[in-house]
Amino acid sequence: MRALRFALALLVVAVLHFVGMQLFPWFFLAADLFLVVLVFNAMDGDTLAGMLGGASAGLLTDALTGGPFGLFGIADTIVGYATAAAGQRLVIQRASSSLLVFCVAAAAQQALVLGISVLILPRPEVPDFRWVLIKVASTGVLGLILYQARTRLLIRMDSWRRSRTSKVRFGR
Amino acid sequence: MVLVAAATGRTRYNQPHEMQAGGSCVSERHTRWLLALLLMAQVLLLTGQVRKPGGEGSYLEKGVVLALAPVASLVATTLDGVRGLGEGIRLNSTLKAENKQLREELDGLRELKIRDFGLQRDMDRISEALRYVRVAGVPLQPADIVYIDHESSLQSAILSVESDSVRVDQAVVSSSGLIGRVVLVIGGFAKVQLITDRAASVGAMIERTRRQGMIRGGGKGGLALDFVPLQADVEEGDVIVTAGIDGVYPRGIPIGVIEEIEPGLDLFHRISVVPYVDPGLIDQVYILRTEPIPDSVKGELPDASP
Repeated sequence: MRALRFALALLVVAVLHFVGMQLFPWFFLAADLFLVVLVFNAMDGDTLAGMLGGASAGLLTDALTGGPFGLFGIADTIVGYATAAAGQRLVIQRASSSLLVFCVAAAAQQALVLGISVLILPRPEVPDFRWVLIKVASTGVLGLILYQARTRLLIRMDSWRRSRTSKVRFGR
Repeated sequence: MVLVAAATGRTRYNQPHEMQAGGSCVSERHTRWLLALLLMAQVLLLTGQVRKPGGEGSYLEKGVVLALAPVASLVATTLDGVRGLGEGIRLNSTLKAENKQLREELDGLRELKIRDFGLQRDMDRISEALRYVRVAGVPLQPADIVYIDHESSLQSAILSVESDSVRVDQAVVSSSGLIGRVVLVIGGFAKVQLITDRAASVGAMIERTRRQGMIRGGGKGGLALDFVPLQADVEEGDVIVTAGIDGVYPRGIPIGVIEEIEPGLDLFHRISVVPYVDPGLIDQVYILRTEPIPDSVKGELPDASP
């Protein structure tokens, strides 16, 4: 069920990515929606799900970008696993914490992509630092919005469940 | 303070490395092995591409692209549709404005037609009272220009026509004014001498004063109005129309407008006329299907004897 949800999320993100690229050719330079989803997926601490989610999101990104296939795959696999591993040890309580997690994940991804490019590719392309900063910031903001929305939804569902339970009356 | 763990109704604790993490069914040790394998596979995939640059790509990449292509295509089609809708709305507003303008023009033309109808009836009554015989309206036959030479001094055009309905010396006009006359009919084609041809001449008159003269082709797109006496009332900007005295062109067809008047060496003005019709801009013309003056009438000369 979780894998299906994640696949559906990737499909939605792919659609949003296509729309963004159609409207703004610089969209991928400014925002990586796949990264947002994979970090969000890995934050609950399941390293296997984080790793596999990272690999699938990264390979999807590779298929959509012009670079070698597997570059983002490796980076996102590591980011997914690392985020899940960090999620096991951290309890995220504030909005600023979630913002920090998404920003660090985006920065790590960018550093990993650059590192792998330098190690493997014959002519690695160094990304524009300004775009890297924008991508880190946008990933943080989008992740924060998504995380807050999920938290509020869970709280609302919990209160609804509690109120529903309290209304059950027997013997009438 | 928002605790996700509290919100979901369960508390999460730090787990030892060997325990199952995050509700996964695979132990942490196995997950690490899997991670190493996954990374190694991807590194091999990547290095394989680096060794063979410009290759076809792996099956995995093809599969992913194949899976995503329909989505991309759907998104592109949808966005194109939305954009097309926007353009359609913009075009719609343009068409509405144009339609409004055309309706206004149509109303004006209808008004003119009503006035003309009244004038026509008045003229018919006056003509009948005076026993004045007017030339009947001339039927028009549209024709397409298939060739035109308006650059050389001998300027002509070839029309595609119905051979049995066109004859030599019929006038050719466009919606702007006079073009020339038919000089040759062969099969389904008619050759037209343009009025700007050096050898062409047209009986003409100044519309304002009815002073008659003769339009002669200048050979380079211009016209000259000859035989207008020096004492005649003529001004720059006067409109020149056919006089209907040469047996070829009916009266009243617009020819051009006077551009320049100079005193001639003898008794006549030297007048330059700009034609209304630019031969380079016409593609469809109308042939005036006038009846020729019978030779018997032409041959009857008045008795010169006193």
